[in-house]
Amino acid sequence: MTDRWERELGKLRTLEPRTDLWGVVARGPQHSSPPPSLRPRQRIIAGVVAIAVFAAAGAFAWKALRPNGVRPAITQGGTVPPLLIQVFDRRTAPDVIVTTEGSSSQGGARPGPTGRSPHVLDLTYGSVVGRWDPSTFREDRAGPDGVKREGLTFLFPDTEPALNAGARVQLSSQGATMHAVLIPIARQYSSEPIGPTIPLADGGFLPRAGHYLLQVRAVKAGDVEVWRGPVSIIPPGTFQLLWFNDGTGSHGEPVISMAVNGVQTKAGMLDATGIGKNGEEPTPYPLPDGIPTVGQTLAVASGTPIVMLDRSTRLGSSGTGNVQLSFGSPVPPYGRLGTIPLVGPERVIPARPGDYLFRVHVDTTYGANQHAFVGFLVCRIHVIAAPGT
Amino acid sequence: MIVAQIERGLLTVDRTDAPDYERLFREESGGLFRALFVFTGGRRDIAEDATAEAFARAMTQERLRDPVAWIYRTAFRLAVDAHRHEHRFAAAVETTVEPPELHDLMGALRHLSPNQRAVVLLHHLEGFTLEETATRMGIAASTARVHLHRARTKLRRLLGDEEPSA
Repeated sequence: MTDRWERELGKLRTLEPRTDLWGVVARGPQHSSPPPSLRPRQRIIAGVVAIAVFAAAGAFAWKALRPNGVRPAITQGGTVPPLLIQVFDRRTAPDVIVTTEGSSSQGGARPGPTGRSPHVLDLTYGSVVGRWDPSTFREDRAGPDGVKREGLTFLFPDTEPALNAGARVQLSSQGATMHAVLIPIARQYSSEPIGPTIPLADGGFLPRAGHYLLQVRAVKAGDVEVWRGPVSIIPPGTFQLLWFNDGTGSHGEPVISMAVNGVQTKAGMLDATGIGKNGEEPTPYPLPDGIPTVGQTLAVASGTPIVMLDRSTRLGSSGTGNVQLSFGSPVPPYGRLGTIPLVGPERVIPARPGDYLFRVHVDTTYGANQHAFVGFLVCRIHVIAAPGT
Repeated sequence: MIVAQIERGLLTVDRTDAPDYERLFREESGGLFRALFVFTGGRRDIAEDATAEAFARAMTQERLRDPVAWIYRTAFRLAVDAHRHEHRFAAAVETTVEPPELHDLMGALRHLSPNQRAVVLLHHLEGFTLEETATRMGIAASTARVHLHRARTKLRRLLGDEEPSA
């Protein structure tokens, strides 16, 4: 350690707690102690309740996903779906980051979850201005699962090169304009953009399929606000798992495995604490060997079961990990369809055509029966109808 | 390292005798308090409460394989709970009163996340290895490494070119 740092940190050695603190300890826990472990009878009751909840969730999910239920969002060989931009606040994702710096002189036009107007928003991408359809905007500021989401849909022109580093992007809202530059960042749970550009019926193209991080940094009256989220470009006619992580947990590395058509895929969540705070830039994460299969594209037919194989958690903290799977649609309005507690036997999820959002919630138990939120994964599953179905 | 010796000693009596918590408190509470003080951005009250509460809860446990690590993790979680439930961290910048000699250092440390601050302190001041630091904070060693990397990068920018060596 250098002299300068030794001196600075050494000053902390003078800090001591107050001298009578042992007396406080000796009086025993001052706050509500953790409840004792469940007794057998309570465990039985809890199990019955869990089964009832699971049955209700399953019935709800079946009602939503049954054959004569929702119309398939995507059909192979049909209309090419619009490019979906998913914005999940404070998620991290890879490849490309868009940093926008600018100043908005109009109230309510500052880019951010609270100030950006959903009614007037253009994105200049390359030389073409993309018009966002306000009708696609949905916002769930504090949904039942506590997740804040925003979503909007764009049709991009054939400006694939604009996604390269250094490309300039412009966001306009209510007359205020913000200029952006695409900056490549460290890759996390992602593969390279895959496939060619995706042609659209009107002659335009979608960029190559991949995952990108959109970050908007606005400056107003000296106040810097950073707003970011992954941009997911899904190729038609494929099944794809997209993994994001959220920066709320730092106490574990949950790993889940899934199998589709007998092909197993894994993904892990690493800590992302600090991401999005104070405008920090994402930094590379040490990925465990064999984990980064994110972005894997698999063909899957309607009705193919998706089997959750493993819900193991490698928690750095004490206690056990609990994993809960939620599934719903990532397409606005992001309705959550149900929740399955991933305990006990393997669960088979009927994968009907459509878009699903799998949210794997992980927490940990410590002490006697206290729970601490660890974090969650968000997995998007895109299922198409098989030919002839 | 003293801490390691203490832990080994406790492990040997784990199944037969309760740890000498008063001795453990004398030897460990200072380091834990400092870690929490930095973790909370200078909240002495939260740091003291969490330290005391963690030791008190440890004493109610029937058997702890690694009491020191358990106490550290519990104390960090208690501090986090204080943050989540009382939103006290947000007010820390305005309300914290700290010794004048710590003003510059704490000012720089507040630019780090709580976990980054704690990793820096446990690793560089208390002398724990990264693995030991991670165990005490209840995080993975790889995560601790990332926190340390970020903290060094940011502190180098904030306090000059000199930084703690690895």
